Amino acid sequence: MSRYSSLATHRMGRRGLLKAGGAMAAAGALTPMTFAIREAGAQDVTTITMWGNHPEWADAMGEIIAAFESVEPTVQIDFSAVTSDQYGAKIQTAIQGGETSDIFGDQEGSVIVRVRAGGELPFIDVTDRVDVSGLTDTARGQVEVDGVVYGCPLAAYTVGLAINNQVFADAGVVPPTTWDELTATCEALKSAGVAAPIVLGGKDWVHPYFMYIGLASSVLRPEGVEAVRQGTKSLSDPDVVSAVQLLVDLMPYYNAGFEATDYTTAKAIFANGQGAMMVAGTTDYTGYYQVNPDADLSFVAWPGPGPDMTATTTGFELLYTVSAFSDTEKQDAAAKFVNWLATVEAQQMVMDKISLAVHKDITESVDPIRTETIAASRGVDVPVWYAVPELNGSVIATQDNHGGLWTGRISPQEFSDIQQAAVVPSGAATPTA
Amino acid sequence: MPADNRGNSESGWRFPEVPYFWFILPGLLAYSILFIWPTIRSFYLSLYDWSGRGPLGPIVWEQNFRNIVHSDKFWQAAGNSFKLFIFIFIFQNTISLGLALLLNRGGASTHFFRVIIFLPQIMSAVATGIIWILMLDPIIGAINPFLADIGLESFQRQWQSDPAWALRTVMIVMAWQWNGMAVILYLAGLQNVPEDLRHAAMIDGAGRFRTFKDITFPMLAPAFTIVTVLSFILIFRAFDLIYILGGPAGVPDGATLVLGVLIYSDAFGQGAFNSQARFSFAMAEGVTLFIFLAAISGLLIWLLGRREAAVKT
Repeated sequence: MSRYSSLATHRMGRRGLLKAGGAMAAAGALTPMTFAIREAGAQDVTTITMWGNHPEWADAMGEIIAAFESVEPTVQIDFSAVTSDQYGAKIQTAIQGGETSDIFGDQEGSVIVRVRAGGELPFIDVTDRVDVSGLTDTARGQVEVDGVVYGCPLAAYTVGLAINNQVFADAGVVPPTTWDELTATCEALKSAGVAAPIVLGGKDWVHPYFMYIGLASSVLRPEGVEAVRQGTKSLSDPDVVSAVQLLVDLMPYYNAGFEATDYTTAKAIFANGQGAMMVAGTTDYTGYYQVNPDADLSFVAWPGPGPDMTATTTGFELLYTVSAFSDTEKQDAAAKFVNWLATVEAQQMVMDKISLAVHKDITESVDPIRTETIAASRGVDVPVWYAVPELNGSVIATQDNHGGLWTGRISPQEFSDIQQAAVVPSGAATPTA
Repeated sequence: MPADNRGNSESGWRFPEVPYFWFILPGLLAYSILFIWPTIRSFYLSLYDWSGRGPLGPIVWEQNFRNIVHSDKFWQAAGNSFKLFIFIFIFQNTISLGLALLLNRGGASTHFFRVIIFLPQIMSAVATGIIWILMLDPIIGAINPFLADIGLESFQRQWQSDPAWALRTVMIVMAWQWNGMAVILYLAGLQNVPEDLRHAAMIDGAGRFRTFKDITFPMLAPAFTIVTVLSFILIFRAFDLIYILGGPAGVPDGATLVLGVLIYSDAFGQGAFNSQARFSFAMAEGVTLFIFLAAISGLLIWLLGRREAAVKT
């Protein structure tokens, strides 16, 4: 007998009928309650998405988000992160598809550039919803354009040289402060059997770029960078070209195969003690310690061309804004988070768990590396070039040409000429060459 | 009424085919929406100046296509794609075919080796790419120490950063990944070669090589056509594994840049701050590649089809 025919011929007894009736009545009573609970839940909690670009910060971000959710229980944030080299492509693709996360993390300098370029913006005006009055002037300058507020930076970072103290101690050398000392230190480290006196991930543009702007900034100083912005100083000048020449001269001291080494692998090589120095921002240390919790590291400014000419460059992590592609309810929820991110409470957590705070009232951290970084950046500090509209083209110029520098296809002078051609001095509408 | 005659109406509509039409309709619709329409649309967009967002700019088709012709990067990528195809073509018609011949002889472990050989084909290209990167790294990789351990220090290389070796390394990895497909296709072809023909040739005194050259290989003409055309199309539009190995710029200095990666980088930028996305230019590159692939594939199918017909007669 088939199941169908068995059910069709089944006779329900009196007891069974009562049970079924009772069950239906109970279900009937519970159903509106269930819907009521669901409806209340749907009204009370808005779940929004947020993307980040440092997977190694996932735990710290989780704690920061949990702190926000405890003060704002009606908002729940679904956070996910990809590596920095993938984030740019991800966000570009998402903008083109109109499918960004609700809390939209734009990259530093990008808010100014997008607003000045005009046209449709991927984020909205949050002037009345986000209080940025407590932020440092430079942080505020990243998210406030012509009096309109678009968001809040997650954190700041200062870029210089990370030092593996143990490797230095084993080789009997101390961190360099001048270019001559840098070359001599590299030679000493190599002689001591260190595989990579300087670790460089040359597969993408990030490390070569920061080495270039770090060394060039030690030549230029803040006033020189300002002169380049104004068009009265050129990146093709011999003193700046010498910084590019140094990049090439240091090639024997980079890790073998550095041209094809990606950012993450480079960090692992350094943190595991196979490298002695590495271009590093404040935020990179979390990743180093994740690779090797026992690593003994410190931070120094970029060596300069002469004595007392060290320099650092400072920039910002993602500029969190509110996505223009989200619906109004999610935009409201996202704005609450961005506003909370600008508070002392949030920024102290950032300072203790991630990087340098962007709130002007926070100067101390539980992290000793951040204390060293603050000390180093109190010397000569220059803004990272891509966060400055006039020098923003330096990224693409590096991205497209650093490979040629390593293979010898282009000379340091040609590289510098390309960089200068990408400069848009204040008031000029197009590149200068 | 016989089933074959039911659909013969005056309008010529064959009734028995109607149910099949409804079966394929969902798939056809999905294919049209996800593939045919975007393809047609990309032809249209390639005529304009468009970054990928906002309204379309002016019509600049002439400039877009002229820029492609004058783009060193495009020709560098096209040259790399061509070299890659030639290598894969030779590899598949020597090593893969040889492996298929060995597997066709049968034996207890045949199924095991079939799985082993086909495995790279079904593995995630991103995952395998990352594993290869780690293995090839000169400092933390396993390949150079392995070569040293077996006394082949002179074969140690900076596999991915040496301009002379970077593309060769990509070729080896690609050949490893695509080997399974060619082996399986040739194996299927070999199993369709009549045994009595081979036996007859051997009885007539032909040796193994002569039997392969005059009987087996000509009978593999359909498999050869499929392997060649598929490899051609797949290699010229290859993206994922090569992107993972060489990055958006095709390190070092464009040595591993291929057309698929170039088109992606132009369309979406190189993942950098304020990357310049040139969507319509990338579309024009895609259209150029589409026309090139369609023309060469058509030519290959025609030429190899004639060869198949000659074998049959």
